[in-house]
Amino acid sequence: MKRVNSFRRTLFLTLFMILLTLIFLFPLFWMVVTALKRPEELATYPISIFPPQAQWIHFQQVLFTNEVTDFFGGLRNTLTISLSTTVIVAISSALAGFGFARYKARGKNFFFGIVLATMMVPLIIMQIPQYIIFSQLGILSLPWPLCYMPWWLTAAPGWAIFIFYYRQFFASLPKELEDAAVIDGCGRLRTFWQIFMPLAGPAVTTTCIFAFQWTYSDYVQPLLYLIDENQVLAVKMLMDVKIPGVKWNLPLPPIPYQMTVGIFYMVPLVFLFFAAQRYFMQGIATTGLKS
Amino acid sequence: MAEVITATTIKPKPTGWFRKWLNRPGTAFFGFISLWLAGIILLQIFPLTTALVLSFTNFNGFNLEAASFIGWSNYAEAFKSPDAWFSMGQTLLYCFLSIPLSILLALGLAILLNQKMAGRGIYRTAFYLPTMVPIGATALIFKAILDSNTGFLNLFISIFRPGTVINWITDYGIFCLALMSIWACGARMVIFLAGLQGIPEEYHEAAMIDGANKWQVFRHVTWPLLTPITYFQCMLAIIEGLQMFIQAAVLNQSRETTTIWNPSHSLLVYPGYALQQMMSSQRFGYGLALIWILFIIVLIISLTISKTSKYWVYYAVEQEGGAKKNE
Repeated sequence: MKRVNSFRRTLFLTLFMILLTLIFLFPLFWMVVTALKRPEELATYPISIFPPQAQWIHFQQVLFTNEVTDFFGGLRNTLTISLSTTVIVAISSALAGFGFARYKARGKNFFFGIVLATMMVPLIIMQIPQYIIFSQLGILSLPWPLCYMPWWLTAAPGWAIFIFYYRQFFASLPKELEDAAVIDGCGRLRTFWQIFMPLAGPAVTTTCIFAFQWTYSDYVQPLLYLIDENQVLAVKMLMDVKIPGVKWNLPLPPIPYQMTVGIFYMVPLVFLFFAAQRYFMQGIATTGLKS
Repeated sequence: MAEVITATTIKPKPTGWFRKWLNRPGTAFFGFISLWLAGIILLQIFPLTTALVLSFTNFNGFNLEAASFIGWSNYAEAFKSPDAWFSMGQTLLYCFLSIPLSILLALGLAILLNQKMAGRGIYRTAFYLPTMVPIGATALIFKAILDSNTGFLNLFISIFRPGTVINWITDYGIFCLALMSIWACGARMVIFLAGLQGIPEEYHEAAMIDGANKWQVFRHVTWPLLTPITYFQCMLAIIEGLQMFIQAAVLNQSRETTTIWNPSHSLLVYPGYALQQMMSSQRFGYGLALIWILFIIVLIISLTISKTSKYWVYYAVEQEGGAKKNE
């Protein structure tokens, strides 16, 4: 009797989980079927779920027809920003985190309090004043790739959440490491770079992954700081897609083309996620790192 | 072992005041955090104070030399403006809808996933995947689902009520935004899941032996141990919720709009209103006043929550201390 009950419970639970999974994945499915429809099909009512003829040509057009969209230009800009920012932020946050973890000084707790406090300040409140400063300094009208200076400047001090993360990590390493390095005549920067950084592999990986994800998906800063051909994929996707032979006076491309660019835009992140799933889950679980 | 001791004793003694200063741990500390410190001062404190000063002027984005102080009138206007009140109401409505629902859903999913079952990894991946979708793409997807003519939602409702054409985005904009944030509750779920897995199994067993049923175990064992995580999540969610605007801006993009900075009425949230005033109407002084008001609201809310936290957040350390006193 108990066995039957437990079987029914398992069956019910499995069906329920599958239903939930389908609900969560449905928007992604809808994105793909919409990308495969003809623009005209979206004007008929009622619309069909599956397109009568899947328009795989959209994928080809978006990628390889230069008149359609400057997809690779946008991708190049997005990757330039996210990769350079990731490298800078991973190193600079480690520097500060190392200082907080390994050295005693007066006022250390006060400064660490500031680190924690800056984690709580809404980004948008900083970004607008920063935007005004950058635009007054003329940074925003620099040529490629110097126009990405705002990212590098804000990455150079390190990001609070990563400083916090590195501090936890470095504080867990034994004191003897440093002593041994000092005995061998190793300077402090070298101790940091040649002894502690190689040991911080997992922390560096987690930081890099999250920094990359956040800069890659960021929408606000590109909108504020960038124009025209320097613009990232995310913004180009909504404004810049041109289709040969299709004319519209307004800034938006037909929905299927937007969806196609959107799919291409998502794919690198989804791959990254599957490749580094373990780091994502650990990073979130241990520090609450989160977009 | 003996070698180590000898080695320590022959450590070269620093000579000269500069060397001595360089060898102090305090110097090293400030050396390592110097980049961060410079960044905080130049890129956060300086812009914020500049913004505060500019919020008392009629700065329009270009006339920095010619801008003049106009006292509190930007702030006075903000408190009188019907749009500011309306957009703040929208932002609060968004917070009240999205935060409790997404936190409850995340908790529920985490509890489900915390059980032993086949394919747990697959479900976890599926629930987490939406958080990997960049925000611009999320908005695109939901535009396609919620569209009045071609969206899936109306198609689905039409099965039960043929001919349904509801303008979700223009009539229920805030609900659409809340739906988007609920869809991406996976990161919260992972945090809850980690918290659940950190609770020792013995606690549950002990409670079960004492005759507690499942609900009682959750209510009196699991939930108290999860409150610190819930507290942290609420805090972050409120900060995120109050500054949400980019989703609204992207959702708002349609064939009729020419700029992203002009949100339609149903999608007008407070930060969006501030940005519209700055980027579209060139009223930077007023916009910065709006931003500063938001900053103060965020401060007040976070302080209030952290002050009330002692009434509902369970801190194991405090409780252990109390138990020791009783012994």
